[in-house]
Amino acid sequence: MLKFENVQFRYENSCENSISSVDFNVNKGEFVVITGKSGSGKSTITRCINGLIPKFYTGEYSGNILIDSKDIKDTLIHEISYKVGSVFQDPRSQFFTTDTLSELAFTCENFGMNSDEIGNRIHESANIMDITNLLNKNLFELSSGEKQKIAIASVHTLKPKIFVLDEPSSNLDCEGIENLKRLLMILKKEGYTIIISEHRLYYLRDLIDKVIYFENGILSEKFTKNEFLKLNEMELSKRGLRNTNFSNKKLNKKLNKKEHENEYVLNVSRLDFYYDKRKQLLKNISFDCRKGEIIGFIGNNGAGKTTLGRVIAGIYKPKNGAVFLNSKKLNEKKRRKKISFVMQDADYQLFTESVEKELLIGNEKIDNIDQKIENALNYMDLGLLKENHPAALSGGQKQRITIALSMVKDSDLVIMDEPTSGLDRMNMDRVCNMVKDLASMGKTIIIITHDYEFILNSCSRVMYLKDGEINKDFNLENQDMLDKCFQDMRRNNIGK
Amino acid sequence: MKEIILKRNYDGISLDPRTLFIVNIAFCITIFLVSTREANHFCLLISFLLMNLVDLKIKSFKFVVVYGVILFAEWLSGFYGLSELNILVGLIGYIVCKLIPILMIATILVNRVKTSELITALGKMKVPRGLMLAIVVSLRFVPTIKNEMLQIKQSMSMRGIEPNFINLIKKPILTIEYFIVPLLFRSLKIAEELTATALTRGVENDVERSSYFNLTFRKVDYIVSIFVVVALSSLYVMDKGLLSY
Repeated sequence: MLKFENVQFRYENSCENSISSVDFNVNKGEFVVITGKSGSGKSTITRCINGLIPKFYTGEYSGNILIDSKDIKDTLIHEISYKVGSVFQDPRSQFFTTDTLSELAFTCENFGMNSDEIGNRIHESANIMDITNLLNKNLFELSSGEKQKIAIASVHTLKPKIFVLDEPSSNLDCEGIENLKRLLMILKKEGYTIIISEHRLYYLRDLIDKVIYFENGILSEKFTKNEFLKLNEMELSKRGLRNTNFSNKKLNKKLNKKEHENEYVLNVSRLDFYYDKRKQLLKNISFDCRKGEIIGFIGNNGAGKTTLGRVIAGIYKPKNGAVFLNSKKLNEKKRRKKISFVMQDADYQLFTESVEKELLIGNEKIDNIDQKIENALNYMDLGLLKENHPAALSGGQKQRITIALSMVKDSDLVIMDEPTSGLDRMNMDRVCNMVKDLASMGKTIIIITHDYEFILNSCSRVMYLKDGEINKDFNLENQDMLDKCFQDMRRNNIGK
Repeated sequence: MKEIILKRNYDGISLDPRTLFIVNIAFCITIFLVSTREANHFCLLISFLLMNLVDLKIKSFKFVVVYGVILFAEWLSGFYGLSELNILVGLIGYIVCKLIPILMIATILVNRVKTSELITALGKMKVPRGLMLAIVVSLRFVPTIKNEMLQIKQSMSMRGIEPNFINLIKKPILTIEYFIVPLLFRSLKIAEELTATALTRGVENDVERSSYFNLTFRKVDYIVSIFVVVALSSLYVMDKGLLSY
């Protein structure tokens, strides 16, 4: 069905090949996972398959790619789309239209299909993917998971033989990933050939036929399903891959016993928050945190974990209740000064033209600021990048700048929103270490996340939020309680 | 089957997007050529009625209230004898009032017309594909950009550089710069991702684009279009006619 012959590609303005000497083939109906560390060339491969390379992403390209035994070198992107449907990472930027119906019709309309046929296709796709309840809705009102479903469905209406997905689970919560898994199962059963580039491998366990592992742009290993699932955690970690299976994980038992005697840093008392009284986002939330704790906030999207993080940080003002920092009741403005909030997307937090200046903004009045900036830069391994423009840095480097800010501000409390979303094993470990270092400096860290592995490796305490309330609040001593919470999150959508 | 899917999710009449274009173009021309306040009030009235026709009652009232507030502000500023203030408020008010009816029609387009219908309408009006895509993407971007701006504002407030009144007075250019830089980078990223998606959905296809929704000009559309064109033309004639006396 699909064959790569000695394919090589170098992005324009790059000194090295992104991929070299790539040879592999995919048979009809196979489910192939392309994986590897960040930067190993996974996305490049998906872009080669759907034709974006070399026509949209330009550069030096050589080799042959055959789809259905036909070389696609001179085939235009839209001609390739007839056979290859593409689904990307960010559900937010995959839509042209504003409502689901138009979106589902969009692809077929582009290919000149007649109105009745389009209607049939939409109906069929909606039934197969179980999205009939989403028809005729405004796209902006859907959750990320629902948006991703619509994205896949609007590609499905054209019935391409091959589906190519580039890290589709990156922006999804537990519920969303469960739904994605189910959708992929349906597609596989229907006989579509599926090629998926991913970091998160656990949800694909039952679907895999073949795994192709890339390292530095070279296809270094091929695995069959059984071979891959047999790899243990150490072998996966060596390859920079996330776990496929979470049972019997060795927990990092080095919980700082002294934490339990530390003073309280944060007291939250009876917080209520809503935009519309009929839908309360936070209901009477109260809890306390001690110095040095690393707390994971978990829950499905919409359960209130991000809202709670933002209320504590002083971004939103609660309708009722108060937040005390070091036993002092502080208003929103004072809290914003004292607390650091690290957003999921670092692009929202970079405002100026050099890394050094970035750490200076808003902090000019702090004593000894130059020394503090120097220390923070060195600690975060950014010393050499002092003069660089933040926009030119990699995602990981941008994230380190935002974390360095919390050191410069000397915040006692740092709140991080999905710091490991989309990260491979190595980078996740790096974030784990950074978080633990910050905690050992005496800071309290709150992490809003749905990354199971990350929680096991870094958190000392977990708070599970459901429907705006604290459902469970426990110290992370073994996996059992955490597993129960995750099961509950997954189950949440079956009832719907 | 199509009937079930096409069920509208609002009460009210559905207007062909071409009607809305005709009305808006008529407004623009009138606004250029007829400078009386009455003409503007009349355009506002038409927009108000149309918004209510398509069940956008609350928004229609909001616009009328804003219009009224501006008129009131203009009237007030006349009292204090500060002719510069009067002129300034009068000028800004004048421009904004002219824009309000047009914004109201645009609101109908964004909130009540399905994108697919819009694309079909543009196609029937022989708008070139590139321009069509630009219009559609711009419309789809309005809510996205609003969200992006919100995120940026929140991020700025965490750093103490938020675009509030004080900062805008103390260091206006710097604050605006801080706001625009992340917006620019985000927009670039979104634009690239969106283009890649567009290409893989066949947007460059030379085949003539079909449409799922069949647009037909109905009685309502004829009535509205003819009425608006006739009414605004007579306003123009009356206006010019008066001048000759």
